[in-house]
Amino acid sequence: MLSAGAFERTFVSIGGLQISGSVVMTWVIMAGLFLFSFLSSRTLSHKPKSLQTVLEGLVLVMEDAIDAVIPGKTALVFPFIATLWIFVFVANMLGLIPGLSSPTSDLSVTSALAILVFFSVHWFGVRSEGVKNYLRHYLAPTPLMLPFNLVSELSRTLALAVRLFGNMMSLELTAILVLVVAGPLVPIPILMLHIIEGVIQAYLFGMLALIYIAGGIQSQELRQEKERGRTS
Amino acid sequence: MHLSLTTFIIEIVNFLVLVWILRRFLFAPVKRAIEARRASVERMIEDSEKARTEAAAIRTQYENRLKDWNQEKDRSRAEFQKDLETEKTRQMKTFYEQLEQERAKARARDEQAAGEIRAAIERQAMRQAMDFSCRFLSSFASPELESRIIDLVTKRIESSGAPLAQFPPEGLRNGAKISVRSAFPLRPDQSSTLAKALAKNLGVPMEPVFSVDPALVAGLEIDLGVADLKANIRDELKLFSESGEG
Repeated sequence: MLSAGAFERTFVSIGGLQISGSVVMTWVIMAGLFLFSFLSSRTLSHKPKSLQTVLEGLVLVMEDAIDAVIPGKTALVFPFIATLWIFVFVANMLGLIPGLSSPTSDLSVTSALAILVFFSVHWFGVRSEGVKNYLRHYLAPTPLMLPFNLVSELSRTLALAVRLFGNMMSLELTAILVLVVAGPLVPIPILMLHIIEGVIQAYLFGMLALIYIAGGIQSQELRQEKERGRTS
Repeated sequence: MHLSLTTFIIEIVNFLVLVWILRRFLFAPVKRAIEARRASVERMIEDSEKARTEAAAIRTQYENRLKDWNQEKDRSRAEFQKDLETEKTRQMKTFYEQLEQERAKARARDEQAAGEIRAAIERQAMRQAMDFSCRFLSSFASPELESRIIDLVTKRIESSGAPLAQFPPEGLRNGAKISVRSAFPLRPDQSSTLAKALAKNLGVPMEPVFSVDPALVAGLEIDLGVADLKANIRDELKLFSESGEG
């Protein structure tokens, strides 16, 4: 098994562009998901078979989870959040395959996902309420809260990236250490823990992103409701 | 643990591409399939609801029709009962009329039969009375009584302006005989007086033939050929009894 940092190193160099193993694994995941999506969507029918039933169940479960947090905005954020869940889950599970490593154990990958969540919060917030109204919530409840709000935005993004990276990297390192110290078959319970942790981390990452986005949208709605209450 | 800017940027692009891929090739088709099925189910529910509504309407229609049929049936039954009662009344009336007629006929027949019986009894009584009278009067019959009857008949014949026979019998003109029957033998003077009186009345000379018939009880019977002159107890009683039967 390769070390946890092996995939962080340059896998291939294309015209001076250093392509890491994590990027290659991400492409593999993307290719696999594309093939799976393309092939499975061609066989969708009015009377679903087992695969279609699983897919529909998965989509509906994710849709219901999103709708429970931000009712009425599900269609807007569903593709982003659902892709986060699927990608992080698949990336986490990839670490179970011997010789491969989870892209999510690479800080660059988790940082990229976290920065995407960071910008998506502002994107959906601005798209929902406009730039001026959205930026106004940083001054709520008083302008004195602006530095704290900005720090909060940055810290939660950083936490999002480091949490996923730390958990997945620690799991892989733990498995490698147990393998080195105790020998073959002993890390199997650790791998079971990897599955649970991978599912939990995927769910947690997507759910936190969803809550941040919902916070950005709903804070505007709450403010508008208060203003309507004052005028009426 | 280090942060690679290249990886960072490429991963951002990768993720956005993945969002597009999943949205284009997974989420959209699956959602379309779900929506299509949901629409199909809703359509089926609508169709079933529509069918249920139509069934309810048809049921209501048939219930109303059944109600109408029941009303029509009741009305027809009432009319039939009414017709039946009318016909029954008519037939009962006819029956009672016929019965009354039959009773009247029976009563008439009974009355007729009773009348006939009564008449028969009366006739029988008259006959018995006549027989009794004949027997009773026979004890009073005598030549003297007959003599008085003959005298009375002779006087009547003589005093009568009208002839005994309205059309004088041709037989008398041609010499036919008049027979005179009496209960007792007549004396010669009585015979000649009677003959003269008859000849005078009829205007024809004659010689009656006299005979004796005790059945006459008393009196005589004159046979003129076309008519009989009866002046005796038996015929008087017989006439009496016949008049009683009449």
